[in-house]
Amino acid sequence: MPTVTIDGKQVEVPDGLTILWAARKAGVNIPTYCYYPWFAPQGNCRICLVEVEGVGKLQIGCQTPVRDGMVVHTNNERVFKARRGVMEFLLLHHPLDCPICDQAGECDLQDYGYKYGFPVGRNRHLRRTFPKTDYGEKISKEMNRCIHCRRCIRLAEDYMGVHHIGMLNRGDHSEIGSYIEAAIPSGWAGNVIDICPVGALTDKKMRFSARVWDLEHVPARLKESAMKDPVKCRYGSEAMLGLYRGKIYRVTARMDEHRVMKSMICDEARFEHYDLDDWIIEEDADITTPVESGPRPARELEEMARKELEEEGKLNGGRVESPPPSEISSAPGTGMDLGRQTE
Amino acid sequence: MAYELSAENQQRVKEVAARYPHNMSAILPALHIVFAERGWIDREACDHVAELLDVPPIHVYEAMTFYTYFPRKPVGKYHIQLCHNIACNLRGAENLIEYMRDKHGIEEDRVTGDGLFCLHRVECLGACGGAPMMQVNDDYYENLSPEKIEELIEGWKREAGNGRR
Amino acid sequence: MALEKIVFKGIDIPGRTEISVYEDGGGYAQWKRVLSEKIEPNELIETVKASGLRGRGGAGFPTGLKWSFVPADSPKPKYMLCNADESEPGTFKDREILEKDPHQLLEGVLLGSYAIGANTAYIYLRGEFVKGWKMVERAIAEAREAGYIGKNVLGSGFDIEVWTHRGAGAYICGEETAMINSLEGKRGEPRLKPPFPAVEGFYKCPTIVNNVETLAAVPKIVENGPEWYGQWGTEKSKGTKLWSVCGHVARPGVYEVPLGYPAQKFFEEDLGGCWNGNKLKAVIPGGSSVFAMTPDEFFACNLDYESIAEHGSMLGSGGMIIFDETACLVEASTVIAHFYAHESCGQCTPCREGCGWVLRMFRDIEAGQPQPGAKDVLLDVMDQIFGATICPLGDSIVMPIKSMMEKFPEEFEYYIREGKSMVTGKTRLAQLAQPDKPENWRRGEPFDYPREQDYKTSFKGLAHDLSRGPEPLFTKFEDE
Repeated sequence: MPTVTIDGKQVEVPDGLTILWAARKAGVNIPTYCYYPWFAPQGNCRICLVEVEGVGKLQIGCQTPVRDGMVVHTNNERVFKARRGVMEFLLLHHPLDCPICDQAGECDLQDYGYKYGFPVGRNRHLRRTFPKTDYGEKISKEMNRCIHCRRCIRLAEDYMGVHHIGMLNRGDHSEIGSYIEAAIPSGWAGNVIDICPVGALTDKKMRFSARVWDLEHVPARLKESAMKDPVKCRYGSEAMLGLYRGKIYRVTARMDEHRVMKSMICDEARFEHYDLDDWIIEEDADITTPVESGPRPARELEEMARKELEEEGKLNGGRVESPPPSEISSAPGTGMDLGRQTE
Repeated sequence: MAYELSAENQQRVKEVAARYPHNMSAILPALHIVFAERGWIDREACDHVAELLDVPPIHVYEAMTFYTYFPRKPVGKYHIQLCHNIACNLRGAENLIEYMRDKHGIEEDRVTGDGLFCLHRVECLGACGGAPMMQVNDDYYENLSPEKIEELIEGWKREAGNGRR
Repeated sequence: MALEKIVFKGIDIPGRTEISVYEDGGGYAQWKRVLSEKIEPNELIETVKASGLRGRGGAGFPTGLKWSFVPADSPKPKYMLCNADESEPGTFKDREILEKDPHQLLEGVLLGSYAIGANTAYIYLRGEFVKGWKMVERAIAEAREAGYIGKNVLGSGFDIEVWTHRGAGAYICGEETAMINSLEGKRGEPRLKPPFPAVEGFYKCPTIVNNVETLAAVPKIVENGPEWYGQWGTEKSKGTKLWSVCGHVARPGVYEVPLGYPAQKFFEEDLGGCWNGNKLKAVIPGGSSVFAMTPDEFFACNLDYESIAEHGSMLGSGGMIIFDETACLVEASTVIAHFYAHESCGQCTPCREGCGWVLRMFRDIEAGQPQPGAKDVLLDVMDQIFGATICPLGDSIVMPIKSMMEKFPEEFEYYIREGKSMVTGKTRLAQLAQPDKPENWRRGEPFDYPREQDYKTSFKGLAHDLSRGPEPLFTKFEDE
C-alpha cells in the first residue's frame, strides 16, 4: 500500500489508484470534467492538473497512478494558474446564457468557473457558434455550450451500445454530433442529459419550466404496474424526481455528490411518467457513496430483466410486448469491441 | 440515387480491408479510393464506404471530417493547393495568390466559372526546399514564380480546350 | 573520419528506385544475411542499440532501446509502423528518401520488423505524397516478386507483409499514438501515455513507430556494425543527420552531415549563407515547432542534440528555417500560429481553444488593431498552453512564437504600437480592420481589463476555501 502526501495530508491508498481518488480519500477535491468513473480516463479537459514533486510537467490527476512517497500539490499557485488557464479556454466561446440555461445551478462549469475563472474576459473576438441541431424530440443539444469532454460519446458507445454520435471536424470548430442530425437510436438515450457536465445536452420536456434550485429532489422507483416496457424499466427506473409544489418537473438518474450517475435510467422512466402516482418514493436510498465504477451496460440490463420477467411469467402476459433484442440493438455496429477482436 | 463505387473499386476496397486486423482501419484507404474515383466526398459516399466495410457510418463521418485532404464539394478540374506556410510565405507565396486572383480571377475556396480551377491555401506540403510550391491534383510544382504560374495555367487552359488566347 | 553519407549514400545513383540497381549497390544483402544466418532478433536490437541511433522524427529517443521495450513473450501479434507522415513545416527530408531510394527504407522496415518479431509492417505516408506513395508501392511489389516479402521469406520460416497506408492531411498523425489511432481508422488524436505503443499500440498490440530516416539508416548499421556508425557524431549523438534547409537561404535542400557538425561552417560553406547575400536574422533549427535562435546562438552551437539544447533550442526533425533581415517575424508568427490552429486535433482544451485564440490575436496585431496589452495577453495565453496538453502540439505553437517574442521584442512591440511592420513598413492584414468585412473578428471598443494584481485575490480566496475540505456539490436537496 503506497503512502502519498496530498496537500500535506498523508494517506495510505491501494496500489494503482489514481491521484484523483487518492485525493478524494484524503478529503481533497480535484475538479474534473471529462473524467467519469464509468470510463477509462481520457484526459482531454486538463482541469484536473496537479503538481507532483520531482516531475517537471503538471500531471493529470484522473490518469496518473500514485507511487509510494509521492508528494502531490493540488492547491498551490502553479496548479491554480494552470486551472485558471483551462477555465479561461473553456469559457472562451461559452455563451453567457446561464440565466436561461436549464443546467444552471448544477453545472460543473459554473462551479469551477466560480473557483478558478478569471473575473474578467480577455477575449475580444466573436464567439464561435454552431447551428442548432437536436437529438430528436426529447433531447436538446446546444453545441455552443459544449466543452468537448466527450462523455456522451463514450456513454453511447460503451453503455448504450450505440455508435451514433461522434466528434466531427477538427481543432477549435470540432463539434459533437451525429452528422445526420437524427435522434440517438436507443431506449436509454436520455442518459446523455445526465452525463453532460454542462448545459449542452438538456431535457426538452423541462425546458424553461423550472430552475433546479427550486426543485426538491426525491429518490423514487417506477411502480411495476405503471411500466409500459418492463424490460427496460425493471433495471432502468431507479430515478430521482425533481418536484416543485408536489408536481414532477423532471426525472433524472440518481447521482452521488460528484454528480456521477449511480445507474442509467431508461427513456420511458425519464420522459413519460410525470404523474406522482406512478412512482414509489424511496426516501432512504443511498445517494452519498461516491460511484467508483460503471454499471452494467444497457444490453445486459435488458437481458437480465427479460430473463427474470420470463421466469416470473410476466413478459408475455404483460401489457406491452417489448421488441426482441435484435431490434433493440439494430443500431449499426452494436456490440463491436475492437480491443477484444484482436486479442 | 445514392452514390456507389464502380464494381472494380468496390473489390479493391475489400482487398485493402483484408490487409488489416479490423475493417475500421480500411476507412481511410477506402476514402482515398472514393476520392480518386470521384474527386470529392460527401455523406452519401461515406454511407457507401460504411456499408462496404460494415462499420458504423459515424466512424466514417468522424474520419472524413477530421482529415482535410478530402474536399467535401467538387473542386474543379485542376485543384490548386498552394502552400502558404512558413517556408513558402518567406519566399513569396502571398504574391502568387494575389497574382492568380488578379490575373486569372482564380479566387480562394471558389471554383472558377468554367469549372476548371479551384484555389485552396493549404498548410505545409513537405516540399519547403522548392518553396514556394503548390500541388495541383496529384502533382507537385516547385520553385514557382508568377511567370511559371502563368505558363502552367495557360497550359492547363489549352489542355482543357478552353484557351482564351 | 571523412565526411561520408549513410542514409543518402546511393540517393543520386540513376535508377536507384529499381530493385536491380539497389541490389547491385549491395541492397537487400543484409536482409538475406539476417535470414540465412538466422541471426537472433535480440542481436539486431543490440547492434542498433550499440550504434547509438536515435529517432530522427523529432523526439530523439534511442531506437534500439525503443525496440527492446517490445515484450518478446507477448502472445499478441506485433506491428512495425514506419512514420512517413512528414508534415512539419520546414522538414522535407523523408520525401527525398521515399521518392528516390524507397528500397533502402524498405530494407530498414524489414530488418526492424524482424528485430521486434513483427509479421506485419505498415508504412504510413502522408496523403499528399502521391509520387512517394507510388514509388514505395512499386518498391514493395518488386521486393515481393523477388521474394523478400511474403510468407516464409527465402525459406527462413519468417513471414512478413508490408503495406502502405496513406494519411489524409493531418499533421497530428505524425505523433506516434495519433498515427496508431489513424491507422485504426479513427480520428488521428493522440492517446494518453502510458501505456506506450511498444506495449499497447495498434489494436492494443505491441507496436513500434519509427521515422523514415531512422529506418533508412538501419541497413547500413547492420552491414557495417555499430562501431562504424559511431565514428561519426559526438559522444551522445552518433551518426549522421539529414538537414532540410529552407527559407531565405542561398541553397535550400536536404544535406546529410555528421552530428556535431559546426553550425557556422554548415551555414556558410554548405548552405552558402542567406540568399541575395542578406544578413541572417533568426534560425529555427528543428522544424517549425522548436525555439527560434538568434545568429549568435546558432553560430555558437554544433549540430547535435545536446549542443543545440544547450544553446536554447532543439534539434527536432532537422527542418532548418532561415530568416534573413527582410523577414517580418510578426508575420512569421501569424503563419506559424495559423498552422497550429489549423492542425490542432481538438481533443484537449488548452490546444484546441488556445491555438485559435493566439492566431486571432496575431491577426488583430497584423490588422493594426491589437487589443490593449496584447503582448502580455499573448505571452500569458501561451504560458497557459505550454505543458498543459496531451501531446507536444500545444508546446509546439508556444516554442517558436514565444522565443521570437522574447528574442526580438522590439519588432513585436513596434507592430503593436505603430500598427505596421518594422521590417516592411506595411500593415499586412489591413483589410481585416474594415468593419464591413465579414471576416472582421473584432467587436466593440477597446477597453482596459484588470491586470494580474487585480485578480490575484481570487487565488487567496480559493486557498482558504479548499483547505476546509471537499465541497459537496449536490447537497441542495439535503439542506431543505
